[in-house]
Amino acid sequence: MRVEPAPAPLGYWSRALAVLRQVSGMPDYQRYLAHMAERHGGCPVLSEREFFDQYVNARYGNGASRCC
Amino acid sequence: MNRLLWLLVSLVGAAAWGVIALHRGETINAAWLVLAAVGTYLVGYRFYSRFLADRVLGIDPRRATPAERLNNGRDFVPTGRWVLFGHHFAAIAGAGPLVGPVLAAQFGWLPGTIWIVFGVVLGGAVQDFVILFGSMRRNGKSLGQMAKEEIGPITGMIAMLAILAIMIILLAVLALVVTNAMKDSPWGVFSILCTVPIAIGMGIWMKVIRPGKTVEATVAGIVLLVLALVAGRYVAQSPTLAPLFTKGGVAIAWGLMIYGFIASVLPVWLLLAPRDYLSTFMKVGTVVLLAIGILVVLPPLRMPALTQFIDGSGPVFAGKLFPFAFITIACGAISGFHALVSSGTTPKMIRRESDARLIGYGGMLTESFVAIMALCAATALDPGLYFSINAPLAALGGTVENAALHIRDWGFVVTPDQIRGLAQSVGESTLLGRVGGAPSLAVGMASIFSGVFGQHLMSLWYHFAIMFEALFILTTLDAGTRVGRFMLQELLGHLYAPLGRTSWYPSVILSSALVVAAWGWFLLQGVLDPLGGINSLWPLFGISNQLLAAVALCVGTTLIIKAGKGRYAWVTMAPLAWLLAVTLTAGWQKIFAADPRLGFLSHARDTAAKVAAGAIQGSTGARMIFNDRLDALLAGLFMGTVVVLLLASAREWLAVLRGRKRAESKETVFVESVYAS
Repeated sequence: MRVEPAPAPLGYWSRALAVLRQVSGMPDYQRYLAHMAERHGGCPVLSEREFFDQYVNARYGNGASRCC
Repeated sequence: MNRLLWLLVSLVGAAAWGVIALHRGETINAAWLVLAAVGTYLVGYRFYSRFLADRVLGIDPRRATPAERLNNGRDFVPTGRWVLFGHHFAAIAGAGPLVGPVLAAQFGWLPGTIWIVFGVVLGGAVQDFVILFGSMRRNGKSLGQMAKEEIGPITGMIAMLAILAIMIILLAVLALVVTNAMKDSPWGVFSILCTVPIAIGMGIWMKVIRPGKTVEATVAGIVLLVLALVAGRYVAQSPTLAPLFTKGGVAIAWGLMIYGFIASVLPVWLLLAPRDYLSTFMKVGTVVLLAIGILVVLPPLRMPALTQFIDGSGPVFAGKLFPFAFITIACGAISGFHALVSSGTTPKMIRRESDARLIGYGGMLTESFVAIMALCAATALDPGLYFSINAPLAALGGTVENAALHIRDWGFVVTPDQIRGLAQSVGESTLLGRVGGAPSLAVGMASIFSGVFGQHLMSLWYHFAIMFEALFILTTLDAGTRVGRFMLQELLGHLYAPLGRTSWYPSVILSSALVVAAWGWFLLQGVLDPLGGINSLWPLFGISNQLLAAVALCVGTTLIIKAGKGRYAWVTMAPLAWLLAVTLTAGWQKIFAADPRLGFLSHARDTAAKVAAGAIQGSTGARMIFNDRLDALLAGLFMGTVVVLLLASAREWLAVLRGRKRAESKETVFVESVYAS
């Protein structure tokens, strides 16, 4: 846990990466940081590794529901 | 201007249907199917889905969604509608819409096309949209929870058992599809085997070496996959390596079971998550590539519009056009499984209520288009070659020469050299009797891609298509075994509490082993079946998937009636009535039909007679008879479940409609959205 400043606005490349991540259900750390800065300014945030662990467990821990 | 545009779209769609309807004899171009489908989708989306959104469901863009109210930056996140559309599409589309239409192509291209296009506009997309909406109004509750809360606790329990049984059959049949694609194919076995260490490597990269760098790990993974694919050719040509990777069906089936067990016990970051990323990238990429390929090549469809097999004598699977075309094609027209995805992660990410129309209804239309493309790819093949791949070996007479004779008897011309030449061109020793749909789809896709990029890469494209199908089937196997394990643990927890603890290792191992044993049993049954297994298992899967759709439509109807919109309940009741007619007829025929190829019980009697006559060995016969009875029991169970569920729902509907119960559902209260202004 550490305090993180608000992230810089995204460029084209980062935005393309964000779309790729969100479409394929990958964790999006930048989006999480943006969310924390906007809603919970000053609160401690998870490190990238902690966020990855929690996100992957939340998404797949109960077995991902998917189609045939 | 706008009206003019829609008039034009409608006219083009109608004209394409006109060409299809008036077409006689000669081959028709895939372009007409694509035009008719897209025209119908656009009109259905613009008019019918808007009617559903505005009148039936009462979508309210001013109402805050769960993603907005419960935003936590993780699972509840407001997401742009096109991004979420892509995400939802990637979650619903899998092997189903690719394989079903290929199998149903034995009836010709016409029945599949009509069912896929009209089934989705009036049924499948409605189901997905209504369930997505219902879940969105209930903070992302699952289908089972909604069934329990809106209909009753017993219904919820039945729905959960049904989901578990369907999962088992689904996993078995998908595993059978991969087994048939991999057997006696060193190239296939090698490249598919390579996906496991590649995924594990990616997992370690994302977790330990460069935490959270998922995109770069996945791109590296794709590069490695392509290398494995190319290396597979050398393995297949090497006299020392090829025998190591040449395995029969039974060995591959056991390999898949061991894989499924290990994968469901390992931590998710190590295998499941990286494999899922890999397969999502590949899936979206290949579907786009296939769409471009079909639009560039515009292949003529060489299969007739209707074949003689609509009378039920088809070699790919037994049964008449009605009901079996509608059972064989589930995903792509209407798929109950989507109700699980539409009430899972997607509703928690919708930014505005009005986005649900594009994501729920539009996402399903897109899957339907994938099914149309698969149908085009399969029916563009020479019908003689199509049947040489898709009919079981026993029906073809075992050798290439016999196969050519049998296929000629069915009315299609093909020479032994053509059959051999095709196998050679895709780098396989034989394609004869490779039932299951995946190999013939791969041949179809490879021909289309070769048409764009040149003929010399045919064998590479074939194995690319096989690996692409195997990749997401294995992901489903992995994720599905895990889902089954959690459901089983929840059930076992009622018997002995510690068994319900999802992190207690003895319980994890026991329940994983039970789930794998359950689907493994059906998988082995399919591998050993002389009729190829698809004949008995695919209809069971279709029936169970349509049954789940019936469950979802019962829940959807209840939601609509309880919202006081009873006069519009026909939007879900009409597809429900159709599905009941289809599943109950098919179930009845699969159990009781007198033809031993079709009915499970008559097949058991037929086998018993053969054992008595000494044509089949006693122990083999006993196993086959047991399996027939098991299949019959399962089909009966599915039918019983759907009837009980319907009665329970109908009681609830009547209570509300007659005013005995207040029209009141468990929606969350209205909160104004900040996006409203």
